[in-house]
Amino acid sequence: MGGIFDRLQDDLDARNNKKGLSPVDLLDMPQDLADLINQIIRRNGMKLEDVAQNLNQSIEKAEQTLDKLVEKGYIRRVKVKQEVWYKAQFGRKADKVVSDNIWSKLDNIFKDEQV
Amino acid sequence: MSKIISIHSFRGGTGKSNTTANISAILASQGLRVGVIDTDIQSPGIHVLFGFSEDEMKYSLNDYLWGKCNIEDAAYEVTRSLGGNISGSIYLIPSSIKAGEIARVLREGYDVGLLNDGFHELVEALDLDVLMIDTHPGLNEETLLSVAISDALAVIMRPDQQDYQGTSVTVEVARKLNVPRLVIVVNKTPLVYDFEQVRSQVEQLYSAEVAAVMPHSDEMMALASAGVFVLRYPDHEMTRLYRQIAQKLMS
Repeated sequence: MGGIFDRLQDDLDARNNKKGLSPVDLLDMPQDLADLINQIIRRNGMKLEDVAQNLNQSIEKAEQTLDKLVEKGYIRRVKVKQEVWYKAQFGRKADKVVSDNIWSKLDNIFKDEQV
Repeated sequence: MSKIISIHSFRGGTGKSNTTANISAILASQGLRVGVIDTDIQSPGIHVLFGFSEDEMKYSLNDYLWGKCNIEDAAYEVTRSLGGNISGSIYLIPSSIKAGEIARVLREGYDVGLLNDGFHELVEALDLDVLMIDTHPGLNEETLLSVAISDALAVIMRPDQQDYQGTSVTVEVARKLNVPRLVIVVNKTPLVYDFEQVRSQVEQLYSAEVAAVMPHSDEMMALASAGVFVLRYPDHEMTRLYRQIAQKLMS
């Protein structure tokens, strides 16, 4: 047991992330997983070769890692000029859960304002 | 190579927007193309420092996040209106100040991925040397994203016990997110304090470099956000300290 892939597998098994990544998720991920996703966010996408180099892994192993992250909805594959890039798959910032009365009251206040 | 710099504080009222505006003006005065984005969507304000009014705001960051425009459509060049000797450029990307639009963000949320794309697209579309991000105090999605993508982060604090605790949270988060360059700015320091002692205490507490210990300034308070301090007072001690912070963030 060891290495980012095994730890990633354990961590992902414990998560059920259907809504995409939130920057908040980075704070409670294992450090190596957070580092990888952070690199992908910072560069606004990475190619498989760059990820393998970054992780000091073989292309095959890095691809397995990325496949797992795609499967869990943290990252997505995008085609840029015929090349496959991996980009962060952010979810929507959660709506605030507050009483409907608040929104209807605000709507009344702002009803004359063009939104 | 362009740089992304975030200015953040755990608590409000530390002088975050003022610091962002002043450092932006210094960098632009050095000939750089600087973008300033107000990600404090819930309580925007930095546009006031740049003398930019709501009437001039055709599009805002909110419109981009709701898919109504490209991010560069929400960028306004404010260089000329600032006066002073600026050889570079400043582009402001304001957040909407309309109460209804702020309420809409709170109610509906937004696509965080768009914000991330927007940061990168801005740097390219405007050919920026530096993108300065003015953040919402505390920790939320846009703050964490801003910190995560930054090449450098300045954490602003006052020498106040509440700020000391909050700053340690921010520093911890920045370390978790591997921000390459982290500095702390102690702001609004009462003149009766021993500044060297404050610096050494803060550096020791957070194991991080203090870029400057800024004094409380009556001139800054009197300016009351009606302009950018370093352009009004180019020879003031505060201006020298802002230059020092800018230099440390860019190094």
